[in-house]
Amino acid sequence: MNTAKRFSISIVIALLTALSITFVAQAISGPYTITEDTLYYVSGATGLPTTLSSSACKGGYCAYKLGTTSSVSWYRWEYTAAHTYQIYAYGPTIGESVAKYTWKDKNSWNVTVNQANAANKGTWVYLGFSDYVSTNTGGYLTLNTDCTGWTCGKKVLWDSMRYTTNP
Amino acid sequence: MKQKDWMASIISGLILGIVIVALQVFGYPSQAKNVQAAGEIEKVLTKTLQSHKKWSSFQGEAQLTQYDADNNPHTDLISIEVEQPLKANVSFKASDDKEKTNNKWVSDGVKIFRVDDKNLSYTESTIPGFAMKLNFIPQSLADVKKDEVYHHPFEMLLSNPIMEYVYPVWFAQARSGSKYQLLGEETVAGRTTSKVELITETDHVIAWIDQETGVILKYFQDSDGQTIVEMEFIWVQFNKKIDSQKFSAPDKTKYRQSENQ
Repeated sequence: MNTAKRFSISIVIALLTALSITFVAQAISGPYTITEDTLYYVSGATGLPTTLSSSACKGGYCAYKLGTTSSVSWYRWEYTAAHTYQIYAYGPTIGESVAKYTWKDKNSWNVTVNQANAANKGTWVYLGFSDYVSTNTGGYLTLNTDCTGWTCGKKVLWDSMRYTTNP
Repeated sequence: MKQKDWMASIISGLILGIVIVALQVFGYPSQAKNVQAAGEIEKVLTKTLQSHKKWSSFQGEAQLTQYDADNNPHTDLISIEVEQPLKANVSFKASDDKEKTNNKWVSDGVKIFRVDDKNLSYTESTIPGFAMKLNFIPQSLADVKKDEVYHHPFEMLLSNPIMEYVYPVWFAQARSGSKYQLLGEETVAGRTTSKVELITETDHVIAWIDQETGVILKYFQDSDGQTIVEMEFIWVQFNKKIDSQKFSAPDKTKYRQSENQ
């Protein structure tokens, strides 16, 4: 086998090895995406969020309910995988209201995202990380329609959420 | 192919793979967002990213007008007192929406209390560990990620609209393709500010950014010609000692605790 051929084959093998490592690392740590396709009711006012078809949403669809202080609804995304670490929510470019997220694993915390904020539109908004990354067996993210402090009656949007894991 | 060729190929592949994974973890230089800003405007935007490091305490009063779905204005007068890193007292002094004036947000540095003065109740939530981990906030425009935006955690945890302007680290992280332009210099609430225009795919923003601290003292945003929000601080004061009583938990003999969902 001549040198050029050996060199070419070596490069292909090296690239395949590098690719395998990248795939394995990605498979272990994510990021993983959960869409709003299957939202689960948690508490508060009943009735599923309305589906909204829009290219401004990840995958072409969002779900929404109107912000309120008197009949607040809570829905959750699917459970995440074990050792969930960093958590993000996608901000559709049609965001107009405040979204209040709660992360629940062994503990829980709440953060607020102004979906109308110019920098939050069309990007992943970092919500925070789990304090129990080494021991959690997954958790879930909820979003509610409580607009206390903001002007109510505008659409609170559910789109995709994203997370990473850290074994 | 000799055995040493195989070894060399696989080792090279391993090293390359590790380098790619490391770059993914710590961020590709090429992942930097295409923030179209240079010179003076770059300095102003960098100041917003580092704003929380430029002051130790903040006091002020702001008028905030948000527009509802029918484009009707709703104006609030908000009082705010913050002591770094995690103490705050935010309340509505007056509002078009009378219900709002019953609400107050207090943080004693460990817990956040949302106090309802009408029903004499409060909810409390513990401040999570990530509130103190600020290393993920980009420190320069080169650090800004392509498809992610990072807010100051205390802004997100306190859950009051005025916090976005006191902690403006998000301002320089608008979506790729957004344009920033320095429009000049103006005085707001007795402070010298840089007037910056931001144009994104969907919104038009003008922010008056305090030249010393990076805090946004005046703000305007419209989307498709409809005004979304207008905000202006009437007065502000930086780095003055604030009475610690302001950050105390609600009096448990007067207020009852409600369940936090």
